[in-house]
Amino acid sequence: MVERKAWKDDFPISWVDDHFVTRREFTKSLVLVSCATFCATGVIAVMGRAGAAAAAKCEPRRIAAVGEIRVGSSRVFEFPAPGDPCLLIRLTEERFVAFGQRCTHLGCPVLYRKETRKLHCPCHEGYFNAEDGSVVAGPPPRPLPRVEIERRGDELWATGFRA
Amino acid sequence: MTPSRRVRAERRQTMTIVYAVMVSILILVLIQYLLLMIALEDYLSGKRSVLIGTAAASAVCFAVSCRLIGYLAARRAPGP
Repeated sequence: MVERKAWKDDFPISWVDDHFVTRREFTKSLVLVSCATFCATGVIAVMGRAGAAAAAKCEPRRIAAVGEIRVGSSRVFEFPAPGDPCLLIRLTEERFVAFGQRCTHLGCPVLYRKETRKLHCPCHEGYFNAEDGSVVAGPPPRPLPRVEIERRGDELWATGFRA
Repeated sequence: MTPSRRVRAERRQTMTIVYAVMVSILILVLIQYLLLMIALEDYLSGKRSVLIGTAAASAVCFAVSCRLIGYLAARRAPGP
């Protein structure tokens, strides 16, 4: 009977069974990565086209009556579809602004701070300017999407997003 | 040139071509990765102005990669 050597228990790798990747195989796998990257870019392009088409035909929606919101206060509404939260803010007697409520960092809901006139994301301390939605501080990489508001008599209507 | 030296020279030449193709495809994949990042940034920012351009450029990179791997496959594999 052949005795099994002790070192084989410590190093149980068989040289013969080991699988080597040749340069050609590696190059073929690079082409597969290239294909996957192209597919991902194509999917993003298609989603972008579909999103642009959906945004172009989004229905105007009534948000609130002018008298329902006091100066310096805010109200959450859903636009363009249910489940898409936005924030309407009354900055002055005549000035209303609205932004998407999801932080551009990781999607936490932003809140309006009347004292500082800024939108605050409590998750990672991101701050946005309430005038135009631009990033003031913190990790958010992009401004908040701005909602177009139209005043129809004593009512406020959301009509679309400003690019 | 003796046959053995000719075989060795051919093998060296083939290996150079394999390396050149491999590095070229690697560079193309890196360019595609950058294009993907640009497309993602453009999509998430809502501008959507360069999405078609990045997809087209990525398609060109992929087509060139396929052409290069086809060229490599058409060449004889080096002997042991």
